[in-house]
Amino acid sequence: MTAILVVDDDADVRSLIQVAFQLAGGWTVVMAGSLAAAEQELATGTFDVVLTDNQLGDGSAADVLARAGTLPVVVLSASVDGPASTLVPMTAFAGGIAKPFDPMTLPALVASAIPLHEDPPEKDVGRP
Amino acid sequence: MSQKFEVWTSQEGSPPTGGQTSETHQLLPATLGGMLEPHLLVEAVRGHERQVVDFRVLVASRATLDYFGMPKEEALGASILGIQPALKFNGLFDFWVEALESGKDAVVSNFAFEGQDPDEVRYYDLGASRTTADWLSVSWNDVTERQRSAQAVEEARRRYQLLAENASDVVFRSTATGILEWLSPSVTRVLGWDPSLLIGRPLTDLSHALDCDKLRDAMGRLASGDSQHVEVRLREAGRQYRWMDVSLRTALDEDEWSSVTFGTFRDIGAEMAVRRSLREEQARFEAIKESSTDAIITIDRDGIIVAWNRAAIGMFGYRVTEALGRPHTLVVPPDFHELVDRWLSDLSSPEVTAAIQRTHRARLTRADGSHFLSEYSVAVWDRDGQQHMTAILRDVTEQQAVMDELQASRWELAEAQRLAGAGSWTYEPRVDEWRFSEEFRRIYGLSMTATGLDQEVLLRAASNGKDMEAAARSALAAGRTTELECDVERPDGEIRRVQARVAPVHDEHGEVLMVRGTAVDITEVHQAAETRARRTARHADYLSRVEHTLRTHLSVVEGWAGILEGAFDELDPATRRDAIGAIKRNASALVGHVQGLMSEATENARAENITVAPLDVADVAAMAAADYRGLSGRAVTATPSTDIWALGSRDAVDTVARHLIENAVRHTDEEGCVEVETRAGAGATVEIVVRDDGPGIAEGVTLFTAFSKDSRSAGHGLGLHVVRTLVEAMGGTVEGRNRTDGPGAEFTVTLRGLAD
Repeated sequence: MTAILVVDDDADVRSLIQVAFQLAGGWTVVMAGSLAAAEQELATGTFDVVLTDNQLGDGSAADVLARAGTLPVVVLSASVDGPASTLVPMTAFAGGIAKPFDPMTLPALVASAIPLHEDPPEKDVGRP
Repeated sequence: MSQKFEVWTSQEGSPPTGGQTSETHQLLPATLGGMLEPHLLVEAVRGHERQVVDFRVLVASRATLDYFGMPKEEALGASILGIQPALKFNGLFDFWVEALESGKDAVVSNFAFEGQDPDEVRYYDLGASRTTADWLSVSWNDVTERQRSAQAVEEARRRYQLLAENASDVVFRSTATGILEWLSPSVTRVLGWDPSLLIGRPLTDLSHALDCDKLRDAMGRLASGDSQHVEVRLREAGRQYRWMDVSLRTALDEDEWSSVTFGTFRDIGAEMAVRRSLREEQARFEAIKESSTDAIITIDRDGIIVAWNRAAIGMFGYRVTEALGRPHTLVVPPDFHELVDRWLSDLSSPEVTAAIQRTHRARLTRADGSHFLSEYSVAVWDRDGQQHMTAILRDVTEQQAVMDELQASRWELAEAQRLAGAGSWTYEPRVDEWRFSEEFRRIYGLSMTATGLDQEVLLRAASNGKDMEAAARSALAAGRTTELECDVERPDGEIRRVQARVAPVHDEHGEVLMVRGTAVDITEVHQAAETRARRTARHADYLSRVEHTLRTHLSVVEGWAGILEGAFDELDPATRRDAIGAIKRNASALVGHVQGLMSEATENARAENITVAPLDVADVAAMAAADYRGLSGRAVTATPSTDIWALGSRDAVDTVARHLIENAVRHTDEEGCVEVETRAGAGATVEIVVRDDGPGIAEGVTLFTAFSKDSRSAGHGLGLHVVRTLVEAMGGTVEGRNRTDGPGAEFTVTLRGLAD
């Protein structure tokens, strides 16, 4: 099982992503509704990857990237231009997925961002 | 008084020997006795060896008896040595004996004779002649006065000689024809001549050829009896000529028959040099006076014009003959008559001294009645003890016109600088002088009347003056031009944004003559740019949030729709219901956001064109509050209801008030209370405060940012964003916080008041 931490302040989005990873199978999904909750999960849990929204009520994807260390982080971006250029150089940045996304292909995209995966996704993926 | 003549003869006298007739005997005593001068006829008294041992008085004239001081009875027959014992010792007795024995007439002049008064020596001319064998006729004449006169003359001559020989002037004597007979030794010192080389030569030999006639004429005029003075060049022994003042006078010679010329010549070389210098100075002054383009007019103590140059003619239109001798009122304006008269009454007064030290201006009148503006200075000077006042005048009509034009240009420049908010300054290192334009002073808040401003003042006025100083130094040292933008803190604390340029000004050799700087007040432009930049950044952020929000909602709608479509059977019924609910909520939110965006876009467009004017904001806020009173059912109060004025737009203030009241109502339950207070704020501001008693602002919520809404709120997060946009467009600010006096939130809008 691959453990993923999903960080988003929108409950409807969190539910959608959880169902998407459940349908894909092979994922252990932990949800965080805020940056504060994400920090707590990162401090206590073990994850293979983090999927985070770009804008959080109490922070942003940059804050999550800063706290993730070497853990790969995939950013959900609402911008048509993809994640902000300031995020790309950050160590933890593993890729970006633009909204709206296809929940059926989302798990595969996230999996491709994990370095241990045989076919790791390229950075700055952009839109699926 | 008649003179009584008597003849006294000795009755006891021996008759003349040698056969003289009695007639002769009678004639001689009678003749002797009748002479006015003292005379004696004496007879020798001989001793044993026939030597003369005395004389006996035979006849004595009255003058003799007076001289002897004895009556004739006593004198006749008396021994002469008895009467005058001194004769034996002073040599006269021997003189008589010699005359008697030799038979030759004996004469002696100026014989000093010590009379009865031992302190008095008198002088006599004496004569003795034998009349018979032993008779001797003796006469004498008291020439004491003559002798003393001669001695006095001699003394005077000696003194004159001494004086002449030692005088600095050369004294000479010449014949009436000018042949030099004597020169004082000072001629050697004065002209280098040995006097002996000149004696016997005509005086004109010493004279310069061009001055000979002048000298001869002077000598010719001596015949009139007047002394003559003439200035001629006399030759030195070294053949150079020196200017001499020659004085001549004529006098009778010692023989009193011929005339001689006495004279002196005095070295006047230095005097001539001074005179020449004075003449040259006068000539120079005249040349300057006549060639000067300035009018030079001199008046004497009586205010009469005594000098009037060519430029004065051109300036006033009066010819020299029309001006000289006329009073100063000819050219001095009536308003100044009293002043000039007062000056003339005391040319040493402090008032005149002060007047001399500066230039003056006056409107003067020409001969033809036309006027002109003159700049003039005055000077007081002395000639031969007479004080004069000279005025030097210049027609500055054209100069004034240029100055007026320049002043107008300066004013226009200052006005242009004021309109452009552009000041300028210069710094001249050679004189260490700073000059600031009026606008520069305004920008920096420097006093308009202050003088002697220096760099220190400039730097004190500028909060980051080091930049300006560095630019000035760079311009001075390296001739570099620097452009910079800096904030300037005025003495009153106001900050102005200045765009400055500092550039060197070079002379023809490339040396830095001065540094010139400009400072453009770009405060308003800068503030507008900053506002634009903030608005642009905020708009970008706003667009980002709009995009994020819309895409998020869209993601939920599309995502759940895709799952329902692709994996419907794999979902349990509860999940399906949740999915449909999520689709509905997010679709509805999308519609609400689009409506909000359209409204926000309208307010933004309004904010771009907003204009402010004095507005009773309390009235606007109270009217907005009144509208919500009936609609919401909640208690909405407004204080006061009118008469607090600020700069604002009625529509914008109304919209702001309504958004804030609506926001407050939304966060207040139906028993809650919303207060709208309008009040004077700090400084010249007015505040509109909207309070509610709801749950307050949740932690982490960013107010006034679009789509950054409180999750507990039913709004879209756009209302407060619109509030800020409109408030800032009116030059105000808005802030929100939780109340400190109880539950609920408090939003404060601050607008500019009408302080001025």
